Amino acid sequence: MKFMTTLVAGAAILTGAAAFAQERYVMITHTQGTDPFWPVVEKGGRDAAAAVGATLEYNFDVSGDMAAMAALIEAAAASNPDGIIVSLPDADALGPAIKAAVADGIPVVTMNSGLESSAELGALMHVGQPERLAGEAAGGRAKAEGVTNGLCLNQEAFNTALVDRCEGYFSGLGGDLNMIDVSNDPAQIETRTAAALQADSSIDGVLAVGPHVCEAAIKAIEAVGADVHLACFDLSPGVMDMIENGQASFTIDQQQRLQGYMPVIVLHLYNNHAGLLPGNNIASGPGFVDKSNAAAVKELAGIDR
Amino acid sequence: MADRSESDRLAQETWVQRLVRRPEIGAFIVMVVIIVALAFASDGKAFNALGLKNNIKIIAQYGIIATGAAMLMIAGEFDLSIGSMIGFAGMSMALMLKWGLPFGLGEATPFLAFIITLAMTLTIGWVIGTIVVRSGLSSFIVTLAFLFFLRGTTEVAFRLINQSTQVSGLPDYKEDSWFANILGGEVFGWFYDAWFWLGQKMVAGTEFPARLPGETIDYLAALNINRRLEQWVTGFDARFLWFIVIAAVAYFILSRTQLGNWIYATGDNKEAARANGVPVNRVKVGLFMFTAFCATMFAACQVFDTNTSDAAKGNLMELFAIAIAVVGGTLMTGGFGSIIGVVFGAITVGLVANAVFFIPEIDGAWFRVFLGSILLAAVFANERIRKRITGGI
Repeated sequence: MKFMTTLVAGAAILTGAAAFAQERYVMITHTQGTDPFWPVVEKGGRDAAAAVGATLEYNFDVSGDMAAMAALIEAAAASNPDGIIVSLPDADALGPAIKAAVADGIPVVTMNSGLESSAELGALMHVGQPERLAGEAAGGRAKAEGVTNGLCLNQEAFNTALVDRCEGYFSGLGGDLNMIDVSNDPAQIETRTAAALQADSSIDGVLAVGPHVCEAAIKAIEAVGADVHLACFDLSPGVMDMIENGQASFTIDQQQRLQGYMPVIVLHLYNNHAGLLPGNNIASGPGFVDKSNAAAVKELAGIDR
Repeated sequence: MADRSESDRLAQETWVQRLVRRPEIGAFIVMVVIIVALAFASDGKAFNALGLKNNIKIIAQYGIIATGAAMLMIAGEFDLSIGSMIGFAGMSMALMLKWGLPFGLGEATPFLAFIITLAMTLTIGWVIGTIVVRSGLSSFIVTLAFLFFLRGTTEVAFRLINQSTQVSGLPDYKEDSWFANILGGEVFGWFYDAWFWLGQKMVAGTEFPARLPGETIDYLAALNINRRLEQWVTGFDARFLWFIVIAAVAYFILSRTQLGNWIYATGDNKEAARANGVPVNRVKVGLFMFTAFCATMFAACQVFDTNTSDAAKGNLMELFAIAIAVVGGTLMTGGFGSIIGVVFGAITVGLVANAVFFIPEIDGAWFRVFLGSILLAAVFANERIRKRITGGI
């Protein structure tokens, strides 16, 4: 892998020299190459690079091993690019490599995960979805659509990112946290949601923090016969159908295309305009998918959304 | 017990005495306590038309795998791969339905997807059983290996074939396919029809306001009438029927057939059983295949009910299956247990898994605390009962 990287980097340097000082950026992510989420990020980065006339190298390690990913970052830094874009799932494992790159004077932008340690490692900024903010946006919109008493369905009650979504929902909606652990079993998601809706018939808003939870929750809502506003997180074919049928009001999209696109633009402006830099991190989400754009989003799913 | 004598067997017993000597009595008492407590704590909502259907849905799916796990435990072996087998079977069926049959053999019907999956899971069950009996290794370790192996295979297959680890947006096969309908549809509709008929008689002549207050909705819910004054619930989930069938067959085999005696003998004392001509290895391999069958039925009922599947399906279910078998009075070391006890155990654990969600004052995270307490209480009770029945062995 390292040999390949060096080879690719070497080739890129040669072509870079030939094209006379064309900007060159390297993007390294923690995908293992099979998740449909990441090709959207990669395409975002490539589109942005094409727009500003730069080249983008995209790299990842199929093993998903953090040490291997750190080695990729070190190899990228050694090729002296104009900037590195990196996802940061494990700050402890990747931190030293990023710090070393920053110390060498290479501008680094983190994206997707790693908001909390981005600045500490010396990165210029972070592009991602703050989960609490996304929950707040969902809660605020639910309130505007008439919800007064909410319920949050969490399939992994110990996952802090998902709890943040629930807490954000109630801070946007107003009221105390009312979250139930529905498990990952579709039958139990349905029966527990139905039980909670029956136990408190004043609940008129439900947030499901995962797409499969959302698909099971609608069955419970329809079985109970309650008039409930349903909001979801993330995209799946089933959820898109539900939004088109009017069974769910909206789903929150973290818009990962921005996580690939924006860092390239930020680095380009930083390098060419005397350190030009936005004053804050860029929140790629929350974006809303509702009836007005569901059909359009569905068409781009897996490509640009 | 030193004052026992041969003439004891002639002593007359009242039906109460006979009842408390049943091996299932511990599980039965725990079950009754849970049912009564839940009915009070939820204001009866846990047993209104939808509450009953939903509780039975969870009880039935637990019961299906617990029956398999209990039969195997009676024969003295464990299967920790049940949960991963559920995930594997769900993955196999959903991928075939979405992407067609393997090797480009065309579109998959629900029946074909099920049969091909069942053939694979039974084969895996046979392999697990054969490894256990041939190697003499602990089934705990061999099936633990398959827990990881099958879960990993499930995830890899999802990623390679489907890119995403979730299949959703499939058409509703229940509408066109009778086969999908008997696995994922509804059964015993007459029960809810009768309930609704009785409910209508109860409220006949009553005037309802246009917008019903909460108490009226709760009252009507108990009569299987929804807030638009129509029939609310139309039937139980099909898995209820499958649970009854699987439990009845298991009960019949264990208590009425030679095979049942073989199973008890294998679990009680393998060498003695073998010396008496019991085909110990074939019994065990067959029971590993039976747990694989139960796991496949669990997965099939869910896949055709929800028309989705994901890589986490069935996670931790092997431990629920074993917990239910133990609550139902099955002995960890084999040779002792009953299917009726397992049914009581499934009802108890199924209710506990759902119960706390009917009571908004209690945080749902408590359910595992309750489950742990009940498991411990049931084991102590069952141990005392077993000692009394078997005379302190």
